[in-house]
Amino acid sequence: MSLRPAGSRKRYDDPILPLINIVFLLLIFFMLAGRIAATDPFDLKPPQSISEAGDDPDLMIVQFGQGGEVAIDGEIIAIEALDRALEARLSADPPSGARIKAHGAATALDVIELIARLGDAGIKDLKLMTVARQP
Amino acid sequence: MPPSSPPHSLARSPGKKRPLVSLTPLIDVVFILLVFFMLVSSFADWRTIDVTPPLAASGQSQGFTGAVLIEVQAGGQIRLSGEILALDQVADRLKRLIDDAPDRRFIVKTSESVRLQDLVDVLDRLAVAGAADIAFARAEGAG
Repeated sequence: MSLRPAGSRKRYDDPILPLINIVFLLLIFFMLAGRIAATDPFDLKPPQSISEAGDDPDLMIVQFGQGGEVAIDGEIIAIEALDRALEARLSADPPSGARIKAHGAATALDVIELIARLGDAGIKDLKLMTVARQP
Repeated sequence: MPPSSPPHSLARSPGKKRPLVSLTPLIDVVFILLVFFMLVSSFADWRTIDVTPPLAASGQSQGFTGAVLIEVQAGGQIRLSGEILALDQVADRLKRLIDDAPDRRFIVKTSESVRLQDLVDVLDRLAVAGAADIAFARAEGAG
């Protein structure tokens, strides 16, 4: 039950209603269109590629920074400890594959070495993550 | 009580009447949610390239016979069967090689200073040319 005249609320809310509408629309847009992804532990600008194959978010992710930093699923590990970390990970929950998210300016030989070590650890299905080429 | 005349004690300043439920906290929360989703969501268009673990650097394994060696060098140059080519020239050569033998194996070898982006560019050209069997050569002296 309102104790105020019926007209007062309308007059007060009127100017901000369009603002709220737009903010709501923006909110819904970002909720639906964006994908919430874990941030990388270090700066990662993946290489650009014209590859068409899509991403598989279920696979575990191995990050590789420009300076040779390595992280598994966002957890930074020393490169010397990589084999042990992979072994522990594989024995706990054998992944069907792994995605490699490496910096585009990282040394290619280091990335190939990383691919080799993942292969040696027994991960069969390896994917190198890229972003779509910018026009 | 007629709604047009509220008791004087309940009404605030006559010119600035507030509604029963203020919208301001709601707008605050919606703004905070909006900022959160704007910062957290990513719009990157992720793609993947399937890679196979590399071969050993040395030793004549059976995998090498009949394979074409592509050496990626710094500055976007490619050495294909002894000849140094620019990235743009390589597409035709690859196409001819693949027309010759569709299941030909390509061994991609990179030199020390090559960045991953250069390697991915070469992999793109190979994929466009239709190469199905791409292997990496492991660095000399590694594993």
